[in-house]
Amino acid sequence: MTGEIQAEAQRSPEEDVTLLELLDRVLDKGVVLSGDITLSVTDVDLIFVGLRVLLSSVEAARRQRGEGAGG
Amino acid sequence: MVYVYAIFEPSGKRFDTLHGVGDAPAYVQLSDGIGVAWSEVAGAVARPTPDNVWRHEQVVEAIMRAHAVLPVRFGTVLRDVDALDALVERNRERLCEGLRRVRDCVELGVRVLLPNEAGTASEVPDDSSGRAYLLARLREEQARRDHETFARETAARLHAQFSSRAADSTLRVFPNPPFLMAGAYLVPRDRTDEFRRCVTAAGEAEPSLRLLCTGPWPPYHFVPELALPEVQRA
Repeated sequence: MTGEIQAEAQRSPEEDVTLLELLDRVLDKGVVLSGDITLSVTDVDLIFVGLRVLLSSVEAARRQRGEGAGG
Repeated sequence: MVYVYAIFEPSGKRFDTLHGVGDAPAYVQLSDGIGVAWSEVAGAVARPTPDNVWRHEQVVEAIMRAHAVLPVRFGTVLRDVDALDALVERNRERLCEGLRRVRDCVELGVRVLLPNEAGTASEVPDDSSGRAYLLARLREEQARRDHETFARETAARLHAQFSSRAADSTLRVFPNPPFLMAGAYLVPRDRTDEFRRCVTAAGEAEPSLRLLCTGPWPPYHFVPELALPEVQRA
């Protein structure tokens, strides 16, 4: 369903939101089997800094493309 | 060590060979009506690279195609298969109930954005006096509160529509633009088209909003809380 995650420059705004939704789920939800999940911190910081930039650019990109709101 | 992807209800169907994080093969462990998918990994540290996250999701979705599945959080590494077995046994009832709850359902996500001009940088007044500054701050604060009220009321209205077409749901409301809300909905597989039509219709009825429906996801938001072993100190 999600397909491969394209390099950032190649992703559409829709794919950006899908990636956000995916990361939100796998990193923050799901069954917790261990009180102790160790994530490599540098990678996580890079992903979330990237996403903050992405999120503010999603709507900017839509406005630029002249897309209407809704749907 | 053992990296865990998902807990599922075995059906006797065979799996294609699955490869998970670090391209390691994913194995299936069956224990009296509960299946677990896992891979052998060298260490306890998981790197949430796009590739590893995608592979984790790929294993879960492959299982989801034909089984009730409870996805496990990314990065879950246990000492060994015995530790995994012990966890499953300890939580057998909760897991069976959890699987029953999500059987024949998928998770759909709805994210609502308010594309807006306000809520970003406030206007810079020509008058740079303290009074002008305070007025600008008051305007900002009022705009923030207006947005919060609007977000809460809009989210409640939309969520009521969507959750009426779902077996279960969760809602998160955001205080700051551009996001307004994010909802997760546990929807029977044969009702997903109807659900998506409802989201599209809601988007058309609210031209100031942008609604994005994603999925089908494994039911990440609808998993049980398990009893975990006490932490053992060496």
